[in-house]
Amino acid sequence: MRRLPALLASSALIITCLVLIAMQSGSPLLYSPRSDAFADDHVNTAALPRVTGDRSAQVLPLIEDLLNSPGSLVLTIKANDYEGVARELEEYRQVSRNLDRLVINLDMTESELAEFRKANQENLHILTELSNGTHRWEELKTLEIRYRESGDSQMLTSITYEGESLQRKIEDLYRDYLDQEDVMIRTGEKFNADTSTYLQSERDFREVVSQVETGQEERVSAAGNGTATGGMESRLTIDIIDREVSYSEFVQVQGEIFTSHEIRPEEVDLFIDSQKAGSMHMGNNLTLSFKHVVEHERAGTHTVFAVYSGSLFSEIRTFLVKTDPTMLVMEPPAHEGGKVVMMGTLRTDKTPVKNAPVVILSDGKIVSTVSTSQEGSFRVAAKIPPGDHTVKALFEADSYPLYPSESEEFKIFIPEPATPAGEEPGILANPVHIGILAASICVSCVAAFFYLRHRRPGSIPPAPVFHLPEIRPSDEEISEENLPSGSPIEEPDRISSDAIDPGRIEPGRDLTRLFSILRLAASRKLAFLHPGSLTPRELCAKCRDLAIGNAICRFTRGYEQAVYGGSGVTEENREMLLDSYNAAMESLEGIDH
Amino acid sequence: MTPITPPWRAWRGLTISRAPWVAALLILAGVIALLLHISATTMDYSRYNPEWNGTSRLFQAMDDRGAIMVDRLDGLPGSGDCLLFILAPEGDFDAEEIARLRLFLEGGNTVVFVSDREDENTLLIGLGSTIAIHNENLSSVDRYADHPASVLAFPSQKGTLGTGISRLLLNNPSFVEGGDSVFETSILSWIDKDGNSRLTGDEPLQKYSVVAEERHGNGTLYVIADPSIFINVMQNPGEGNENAAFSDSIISRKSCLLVDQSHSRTASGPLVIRAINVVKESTIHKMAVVTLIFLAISLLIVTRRKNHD
Repeated sequence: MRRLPALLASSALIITCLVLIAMQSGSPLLYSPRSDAFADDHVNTAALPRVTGDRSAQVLPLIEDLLNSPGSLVLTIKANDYEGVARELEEYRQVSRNLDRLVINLDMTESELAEFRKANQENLHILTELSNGTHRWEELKTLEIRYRESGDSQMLTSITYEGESLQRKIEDLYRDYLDQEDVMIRTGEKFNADTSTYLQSERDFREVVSQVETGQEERVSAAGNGTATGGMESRLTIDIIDREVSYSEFVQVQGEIFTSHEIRPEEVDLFIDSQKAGSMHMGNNLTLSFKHVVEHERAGTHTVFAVYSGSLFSEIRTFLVKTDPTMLVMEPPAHEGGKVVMMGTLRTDKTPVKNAPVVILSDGKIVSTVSTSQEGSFRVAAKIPPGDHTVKALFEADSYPLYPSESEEFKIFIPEPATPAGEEPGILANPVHIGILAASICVSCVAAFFYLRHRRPGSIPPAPVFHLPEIRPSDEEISEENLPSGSPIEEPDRISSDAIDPGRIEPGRDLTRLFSILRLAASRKLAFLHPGSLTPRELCAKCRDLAIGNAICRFTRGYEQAVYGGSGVTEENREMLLDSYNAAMESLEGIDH
Repeated sequence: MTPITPPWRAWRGLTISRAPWVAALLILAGVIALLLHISATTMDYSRYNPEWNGTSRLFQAMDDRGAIMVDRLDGLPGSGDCLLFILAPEGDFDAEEIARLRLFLEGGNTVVFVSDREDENTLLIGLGSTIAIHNENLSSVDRYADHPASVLAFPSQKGTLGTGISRLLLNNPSFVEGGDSVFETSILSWIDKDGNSRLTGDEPLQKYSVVAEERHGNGTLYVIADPSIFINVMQNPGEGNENAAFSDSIISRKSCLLVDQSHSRTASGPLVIRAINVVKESTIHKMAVVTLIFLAISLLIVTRRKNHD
């Protein structure tokens, strides 16, 4: 009766342990050095991942390369070695890309090194344009000789006009190149780099510009005034209404044409920076007009001329595109469907900026790029990892006559994605975990069942039997002795002492059987628990203080000597064993009476 | 035929009289575990702290070199050729101590002062030094672990301190101004004013001195702006870690090495281990403890004999 509560308590304890172990195996909380890596004064660097150490060793050579590359490139351009220019430009691009990568990898997108990178990108663009411009300039010189030899005055005029446009473009490039000097030299000096090559490149650039200006002056002189061709009787003139314009304003060109032909021209081609921008149409007042919206023109001077029928040229006019400031306004970011939604507008003082790229930065890294609409607004939904972040929008486009601008910074917190109800990750979420848990419980139950079954008194396996030497019991006796025969408490009832007459026990009979009978009889009379498990010495110990103790202990001592001690059954101890057995059995029967 | 004793009967030889021995063994194991527990510490910079943030490794090296632990600065010699190592100081130095230190320094000795706290500038001013510690959030692109506090420093001049050391691994350092720079960070370093662990527009890149030296009379003062250089985890000899060599160059610089324990956080520790240390460092105390142990054993034996009789 006392075993049941103990069994229940043990089972409950085992099941609790199993459940706790299973829960831990589902989400183990293990110690790691990283969880103990931070103290007030220092961090445990052994718990942190290692990084490449001396990274300045990579940056400094790059800066020197980027300061030296323009000098070499401008010299090669000046020498008109266009194969060399192409090769050097490619190398320059490669080094620039390396710097770009490094600045991003080192998370220095907002540093002065990033300024250097931007100035360098501008230089790369300027020198690429200079290379293209001077290459075209050399081609014009070849064409000029050819047309001059063939006497093609119309093409000569065309070349003169294109030369004029190229000259202005190269002068603008030179101005832009000088604008980068401050950042390039300042950064170079800070990093102890040699800046003399860069300064020399500016002087070489100036010489290239001078060569182009001189060449263009000579070309114009050789072509006469160059503003009107096609004979004295035909003339095309143009004029620009407002010569200084800003973003989204119109460049308004008006013109007049006088020809000796009776056919009145309906259309005249108009070129801006030597590229056909459109056609001028004849209005009711017999004047030509054209409107061009400034959007993607770079800031600076631009050339305009008109050509009628490929033979009648106007004079060259210029207009200046000014750079306007911009305002980028972004609203506080909002969470929507697991993403962060950012919206805002980009505009100048007067007008929205259309179709312009706006970059969204999170902690200085680009997370999205979006174009503004016709109203200058933008909206983007970006996926940003959980945690605290600082986001802002940035407008920066060289192809617009606009200054860059950036929005206000917003600090945002992105929570960990919430797990939908019913999918909470736990021990029961994974079928494999459920299977393991069920299997472990089943195995535990089966093991417990078999254990308890074997622990039942009737199921106790028989003790090994030691037979007296030279006397082998019959198979019947062996089976009777080895096989479990129900409860040991019931055994004395079944094996009655009356059935065995000690007086008829002959010497040489199996002592083990005598011991079993004696042990069962004593257990029944004295109410011993688990009689089948009592050893001779334990039986003796239990009866020592009783009247029968002397006889039982004498028997068990002789029994041990004969069976365990290997002394065998001699005549003397046989008598002693039988005497003590009989005395013990008689005493036990006396207890009943 | 040799009788066989079944193995499952072997345990029957164990009697209840052996239980006290088992209990005694368990109690002994418990007492040892308890002693181990209370004699260890995890205090920052403690010489008794064998964990990553202790200085047990450095102090073992200094013990091996026969360093003398100095509990009172007023006992410093006025002249000589000693090196006093003041690591991670805390608390104020009084005027008398500062005067004694100044005398020690100008008398031809060397002082290596290691602190990242601006509070210690009072002592530096008292010593007549132009070196000042600035406790700012110094960060660098040149780092050895993926954390902005793990800054690298490189030798900036041909000083004799740390000769042959190509770089130092710093751990959340401050920086120093004044004196002659001995080690400095690379140009890609900045003060992270906004604490965002990133380089932003108003945080200029520049080199920062972290170890500086200055001559004072016949002596030399070295100021190191990062005591974390000397904690156990930073002293692990490994690939690219020359901090242990740097420590060796300091403690082997002079034959007479004195280590301040009067104001240093390295002296902090639990009472038990401090008591053990007091015994270890004093022959008289050692003798007293041995005598006490023998007395106790003798008393025990005599008492048992009496009971037995």
